[in-house]
Amino acid sequence: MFGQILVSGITAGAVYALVALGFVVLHRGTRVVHFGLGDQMTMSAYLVVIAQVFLDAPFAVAILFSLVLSAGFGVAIERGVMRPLRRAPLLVMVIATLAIGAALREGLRASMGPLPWPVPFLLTPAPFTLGGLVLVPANLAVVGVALAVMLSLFVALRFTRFGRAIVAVYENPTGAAIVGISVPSVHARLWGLSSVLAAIAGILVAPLITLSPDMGTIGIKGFAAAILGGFNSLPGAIAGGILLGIAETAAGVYVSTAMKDIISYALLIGCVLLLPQGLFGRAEPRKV
Amino acid sequence: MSAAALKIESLGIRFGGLLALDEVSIDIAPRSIHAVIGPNGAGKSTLVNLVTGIYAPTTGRVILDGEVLTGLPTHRIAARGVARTFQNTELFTELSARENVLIGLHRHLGYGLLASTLRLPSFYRAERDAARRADELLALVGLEAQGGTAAGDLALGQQRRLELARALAVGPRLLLLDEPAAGLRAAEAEGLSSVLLRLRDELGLTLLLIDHVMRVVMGVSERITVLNYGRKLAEGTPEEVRRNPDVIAAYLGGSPHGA
Repeated sequence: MFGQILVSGITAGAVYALVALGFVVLHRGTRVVHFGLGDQMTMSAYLVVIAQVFLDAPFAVAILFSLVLSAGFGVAIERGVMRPLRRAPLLVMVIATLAIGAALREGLRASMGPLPWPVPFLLTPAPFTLGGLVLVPANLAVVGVALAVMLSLFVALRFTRFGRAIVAVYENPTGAAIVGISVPSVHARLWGLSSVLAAIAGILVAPLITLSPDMGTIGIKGFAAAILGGFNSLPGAIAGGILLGIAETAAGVYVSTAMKDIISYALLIGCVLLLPQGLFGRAEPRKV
Repeated sequence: MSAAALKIESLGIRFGGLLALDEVSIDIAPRSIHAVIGPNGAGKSTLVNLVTGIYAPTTGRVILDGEVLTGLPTHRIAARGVARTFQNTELFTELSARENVLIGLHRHLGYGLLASTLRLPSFYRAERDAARRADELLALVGLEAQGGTAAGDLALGQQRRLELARALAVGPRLLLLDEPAAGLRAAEAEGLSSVLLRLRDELGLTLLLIDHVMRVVMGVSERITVLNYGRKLAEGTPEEVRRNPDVIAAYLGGSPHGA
């Protein structure tokens, strides 16, 4: 039973971890918490459907179409909204992200209708049994893709000029600017990167739940996972996601499925109260 | 990496009601060390922040080898060959000393996402060159043994030298040093003086040095500008400045011209 909980929990957790990474990747560099990220997940999943149904694109092309537009959308938020607001208080920027999320959600409801759309699975949803565990290829694909994405992210941050500029801005924006790194252009990249992470999570999760304009509420789970992980640690975001997925699944099995959201949010509140730096976060001393 | 002439023309900035810098003009010859000294609050660090684009001036402009820097963002000014260190270091504290220098070298790494993802030979070549260059720079500032240490764990004097190595990694023509000797022990200050002279003589850099520590300033500078309350009080060779009664008054208190 426990093994089964782990398998199911990790599937959900992998998606939460991707969204959590989307939150943290952006926040570490820009300080902005993007509350529209969940709705961007929805938008990106709809973009796949739009490319398939209305443009007759093959699945792979539809995914590429969605990822490219999603990245562009993120960069457009930075250029069009955040850059003009750069002298405004942080709270104003965060409220702007709420507005972006609401606009996306209602825009999708108006244009695509309130009813769910089918989104294809990456692999078949027909389960098979292995060593007493029921495994679903579609779920395994979710975990596999999420892992590959996380791995590529870490390699990119460590070994590319693109990634090193991001790490430099994370560590010290003034120091980064003084060695010739354009902080605004790194911010634009972070918005694009965060949007792509949300897009991948949205495309992965859409077939498992249902794609409707309100699917983005699942983004708040990614936010909770990011908090669990400390909100400034990338490995923490992943661990927070997996942990939340497992805790939620265990709560569903041992208590009741109706209670699982309550229990996962109780976990979040407990974490904020008892461990404000999260499981992996570090208090950030501020130089004055 | 030829030396650059820096021309500061009527540079001024006002913060609310405070005139932090009032129409200051300074000419710095290529391949020279020019010091700016003055009591606390004289506007020295403000001057450096204006030259590097961290502040935007209210009046005047900064010209490097005939090119106007004023109005450019900080990273573009860095790309024109202007590097600096900070009074309170602005290092990447969680990264190792070598990584700090490598980030300084980032503009000189000629590979992109494709080359690094596919591990093309150009990626390895660039990585190897950068690693060698980083080690050279660490050795130049005497940190060859600390390459793997997190910058935040280094002693203050070492952090200053690391910031200098990172500044040199950018490949500057003009180097601005904001109080590099503050808080250093006498022996460390001696070491700093000899490094500064090597930067000018061997690398051919132009240096703008801001400091309180007279032993360093008087020992290495060709010319010195004295600021007081945001205004230029005096300018000349170390000997001229040392004998200037206004300067003595500003530093020791009392009225100028004797008493």
